[in-house]
Amino acid sequence: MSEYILETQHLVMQFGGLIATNDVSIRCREHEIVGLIGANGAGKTTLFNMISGQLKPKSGKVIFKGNEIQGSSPHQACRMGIGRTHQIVQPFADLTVLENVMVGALLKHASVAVAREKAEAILEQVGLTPRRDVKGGDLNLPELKRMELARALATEPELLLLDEVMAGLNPTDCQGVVELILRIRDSGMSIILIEHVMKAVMSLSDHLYVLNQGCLISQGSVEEVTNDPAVIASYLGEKKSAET
Amino acid sequence: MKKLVRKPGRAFGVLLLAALLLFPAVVSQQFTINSFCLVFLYAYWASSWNILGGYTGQMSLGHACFVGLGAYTTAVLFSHFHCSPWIGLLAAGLVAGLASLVIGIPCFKLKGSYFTLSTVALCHVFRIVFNTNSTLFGLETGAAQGMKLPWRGGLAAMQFLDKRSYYYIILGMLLLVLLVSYAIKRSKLGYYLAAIRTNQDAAASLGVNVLGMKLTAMFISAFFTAMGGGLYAMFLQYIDPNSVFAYDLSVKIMVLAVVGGGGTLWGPIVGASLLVPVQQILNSRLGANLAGLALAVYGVVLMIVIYFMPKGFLDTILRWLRKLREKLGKPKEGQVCR
Repeated sequence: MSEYILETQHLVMQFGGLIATNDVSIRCREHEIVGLIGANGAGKTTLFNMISGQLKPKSGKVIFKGNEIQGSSPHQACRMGIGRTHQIVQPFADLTVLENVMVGALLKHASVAVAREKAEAILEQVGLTPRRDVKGGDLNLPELKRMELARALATEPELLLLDEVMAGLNPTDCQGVVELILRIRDSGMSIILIEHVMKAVMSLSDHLYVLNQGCLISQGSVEEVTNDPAVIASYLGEKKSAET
Repeated sequence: MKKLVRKPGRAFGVLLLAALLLFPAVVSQQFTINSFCLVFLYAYWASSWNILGGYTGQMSLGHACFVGLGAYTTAVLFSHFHCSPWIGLLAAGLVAGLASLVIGIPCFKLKGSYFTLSTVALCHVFRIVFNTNSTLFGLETGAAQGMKLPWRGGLAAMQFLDKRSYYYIILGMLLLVLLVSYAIKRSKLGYYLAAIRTNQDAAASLGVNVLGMKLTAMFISAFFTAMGGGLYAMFLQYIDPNSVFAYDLSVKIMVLAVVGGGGTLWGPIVGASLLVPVQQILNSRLGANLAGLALAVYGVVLMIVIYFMPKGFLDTILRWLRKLREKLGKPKEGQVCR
C-alpha cells in the first residue's frame, strides 16, 4: 500500500463534445488537506464525482487505499470510506436536521439509538445542536452547508471531499468552518477541498492543485502555486496574487 | 392506566380496538359486518401499499397485480392441492414477493412518474394473461370466467358461513401490518426509506444502497398486499381476473393511502375508514338510480377532500386536535393527570 490514501491517474471525463477533465492525476496523503482550485467549469466537481462514484470516468484510475475503485457506485464509495458534501446542497427536506445526520450515522451503526447519539455528538461538533429539530428544508444556506458536512462526517469516512462548504458564508462563519476542518483533520481524516474563498484555501491546504478548463496547470505548496505565472494568468489575477 | 391517561392517543387506540373486538358480539347483521370487513381489508391494503408508496415514495399504481397474484396463488393451492389457506396466504406472499423483485429490478431503473407508469402496464399484462389462459403452468384458473372455490368449510379451510369469523381474521391481519409498519418506521430501514423518498442521490452518497432498499420495501409491500389478496379470495369464495387484477383496485388502494396521509402510520387507516364507507353508502343509495352516478359523486367527494386537505386527512385531523387542546388550555390537562 502506498503512502497515499487517494490517487487519481490520468482521469478523463467527456460530456458529449466537452472534455470536462483531461488527464487529471492528483494525490492525497493520509491526514493531509489537499486544496483544489480553479475557475468555474474547470472540472473540479467532475473530479469529485468520479472519485465518489457519481460519474464513471471515460478512462483513468481512481485508487483508494491501494484499490482501484473507479466506476463503483456512490453508496459503495461511501461504504469504502469516502464521504462527500455537495456544492448544491442536497438536504432531506422533510426530515429534521437530527434525522438528516442520523441517516449518515446509520451506515456504521445499525442501531437507531446509537446512530442518534452519534448524530447528536456530530451536531454539537458543527454547532447545529440548537437547530436539531428543524426540518432540513427550513435551514438557511450556512446551516445547510454545515448539515451537509455533519452528514458526511456521520458516515465516519477516512477521506472527506468538501465541495465549496464556505461558498456564501460571511467571514466569521468561514473562520468557524476553517477551524472545524482543522479539527476534523486532527481527528485523523484526510481531506480534499474545493474552495473559492482564497484566504481559507491558503490557510488550510498542505498541497494545492489548480485546474483550468479540465487540465491540471499547477500543483505544489501554497507558496509555489501562488507564484506560478500560469496560475496568476488564468485564475488568481495580478492584483490578488500580490495581496496574498 | 396512568400512562394511558397521559397519552390520549394511545388511550383512544386501546378503546377503539376494544370496541372493534366487541362490535360483532353486539351487531350480527351480516351486511354491517361485511362492510366492516371491506373497510379493514382496504385499510390493510392501503397500509401495505404505504410501505412502498408512502415511506419510500415510489408511487405504485400496480398493486392490484399483487392482490391478484395472492388471490390466485391461494385459490389454486386450495382448489387443486387441498392446501389450507393459512399456508396458502404465506405462499401467496412469497410468490408476490418474488414477483416484485423480478419486476422491481428493471422498473426501479425508472424514476418518479415513469416508475408509476411501468407499474400500471404491469398490472394490465397480468390481467390479460389471466384473462386469456384457462390454464397456467398446467393448473386450471378458468380464464375470464374466474375460479369458484370448492366448499370445504371450517377453520382449516378458512371458510365460514358467518362473516364474523372473517371480521376477526382481517382485523388481526390489519393489526399485523400496522405493527410491521411501525417497526419499519422506527428502524434503520425506515430512516433509509425516508431518505430515499426525499432525495435518493443524497441518500446514495451517504452509503444507502438505493436499489436494495427499494427492493426490500417492494418485497414487504407486495408480500402483505398478496396475503390480503388471498384473504379476499377466501372472503368472496370467487375470483376472476377483472376484479383482482383491476386497474381500479390499484387506484383505489393508492388513493386511500394518499388521501388519508401517505407516509404516515395511521394515514391509510384513516383514509380507508372515511372513504370506503362513503363509497358503500353512495353505491347502495345511488347505484340503483343511474349507473355510474355513485362513482361520479365519489369523484367529487375526493376532489373536495384533496382540495381542502392536500396533506391528507390525518394531518388535518391532528391539526384540529392540536387547536382544540390549545383552546382547552393546559390547566385542564393537569386535571386529567391527577
